[in-house]
Amino acid sequence: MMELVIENLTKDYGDTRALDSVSVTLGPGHILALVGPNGSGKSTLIKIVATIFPKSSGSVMLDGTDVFEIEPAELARCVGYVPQFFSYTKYSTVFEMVLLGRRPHIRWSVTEEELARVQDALDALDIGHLAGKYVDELSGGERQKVFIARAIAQDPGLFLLDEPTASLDIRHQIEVMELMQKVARIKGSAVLVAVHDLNLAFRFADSVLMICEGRMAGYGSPAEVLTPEQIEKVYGIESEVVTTGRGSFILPLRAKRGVAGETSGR
Amino acid sequence: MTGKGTLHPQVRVHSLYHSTTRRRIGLIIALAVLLFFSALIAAGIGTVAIPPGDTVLAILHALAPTVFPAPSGPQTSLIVLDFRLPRILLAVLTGICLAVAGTVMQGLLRNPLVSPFTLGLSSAAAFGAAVAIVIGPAILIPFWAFGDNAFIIICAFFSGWLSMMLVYSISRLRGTTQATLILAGVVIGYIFSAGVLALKYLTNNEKLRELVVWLMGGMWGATWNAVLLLIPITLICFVLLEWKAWDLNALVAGDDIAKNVGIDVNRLRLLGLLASTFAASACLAFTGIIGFIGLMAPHICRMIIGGDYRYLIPCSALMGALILLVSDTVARTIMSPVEIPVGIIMYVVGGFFFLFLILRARGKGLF
Repeated sequence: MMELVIENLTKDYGDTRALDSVSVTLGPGHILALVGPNGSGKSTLIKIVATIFPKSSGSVMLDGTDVFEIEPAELARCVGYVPQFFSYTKYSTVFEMVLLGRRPHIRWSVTEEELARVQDALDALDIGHLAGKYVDELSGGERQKVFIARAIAQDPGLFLLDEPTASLDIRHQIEVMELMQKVARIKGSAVLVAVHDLNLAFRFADSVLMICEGRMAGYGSPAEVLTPEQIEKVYGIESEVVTTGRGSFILPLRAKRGVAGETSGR
Repeated sequence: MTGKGTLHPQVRVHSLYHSTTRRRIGLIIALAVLLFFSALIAAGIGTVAIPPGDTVLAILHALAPTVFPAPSGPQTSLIVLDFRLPRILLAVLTGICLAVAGTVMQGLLRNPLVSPFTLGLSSAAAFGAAVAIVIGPAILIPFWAFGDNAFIIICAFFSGWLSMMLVYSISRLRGTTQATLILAGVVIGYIFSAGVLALKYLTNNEKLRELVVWLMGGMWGATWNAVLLLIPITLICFVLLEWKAWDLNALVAGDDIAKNVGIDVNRLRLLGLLASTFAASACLAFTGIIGFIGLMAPHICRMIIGGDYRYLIPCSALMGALILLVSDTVARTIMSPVEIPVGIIMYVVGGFFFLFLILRARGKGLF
């Protein structure tokens, strides 16, 4: 059970301000979707929370403790990170990659308990049958699931997912988001997830943070943030929220000239 | 989260892990046994042939003279203990150090081209040795007491260190990529090579011969002193790097993931590079330039045992030792009593074996 509180988080790369006074709270069992155009600072925010990048100012507190003050080994048991890009070698097997998630819990030898956790993580993503395969033999989507399974095996209180659905087909996108919802509801983990698909954010998130050029452009429930006006302001597209008997979705219509120029910078 | 209704969800990963582990441990034991018997045979062959029983007896007699009788031939003990055993042990230790250094450096820098040689370490060590050979020990009076060889060793060692420090400092600069690091290593290697070439060009004939011999590499510098110095160095570096095997495993998934599972990536890189440089340059100082093993033993072992560093490091160590020992024994005996440089055997036999493995390997590429 983890509560993440970010206050006035600012990040500068030289003269460029990548994040500007971002404040957000994420409680246990909740999913916060991070949306915004390419280069708006989503990955930067996630990497600072994971302490991969240093911050410039502001604070990132996990259960009242500054994440940069937490011992790396302790932080590794609390925070599970799924990056946008993965490395592996020709000799990495699916099992070994997922087992890495248990690294913070393993001293040297691998116990039956660890193996069971790895099995659970593989099964949760329905990739148990791939356990013995080499990662480079998999399709892009399967590979992405392996790295999500690695974070699941880590069993953290806070998940940080940087576009976990990027290379997945529509079915797997839904499966992964359903899984994260299940993890949040059943295990009470907090989930911070950057997504490009606004409809996934709309459908699965408890709250949405929309950022644009490092600044908060909207923060609240999906229905409050993902409005046609906001979307036009941030993405420079015309859209419509369509409500059917089974829920609402965002229907993007067309790009507006001139508007996108001021937002799709970096 | 529970498993999705497959028959025995726990059994699959469980049996996969245990069967893989058994196979890996089996391979390591097999290599160790093979190395042991190779050493035994290597001690027996040469200008004077000694049966394996007498070799064992000579060693045991030296360890416990009261329990075991001396071997039959009068010269047996002398040949085994004073000539062949130090040489065998030097080959084994050098093989271990270079292979482990190569394995760890490849993992740390996530680059299949890395080895003590591609990072400029060997050229730097050669330069250090060349300086020592050409200018002689006269300028450093304190080392005179240890003889010429000690001076060469010390110079090779510090020069190797210097190159690694240069490469590492460059890697610590802001924004340096992995490719830059390799380039830096290669370029630093060229700079030191230029120094070696200049010395070869400027020096007189007799010294040039000495230099060429050292640059070819070989086990003829084997003494018990060298072996006794290398044993603790090898042991310490091996244990240290094996202890970091899990961290090296995590580094495979990238710096960010490694950091996320609690690893101080910069510290791991520094520690790992220092330990592997230490082991490699210590051996290089005694043997001269030995190539191939640091680059190839890790790749051969990845193909046969997989990427888990807990098993890959010991497997590479044994494989490196085996390749170097067999090559040296062949080099020593094939044209007996004339010795040929170990590199000739090793590059040809090892090279073809490696090509054979590549052609049989799954898919293309190496890493």
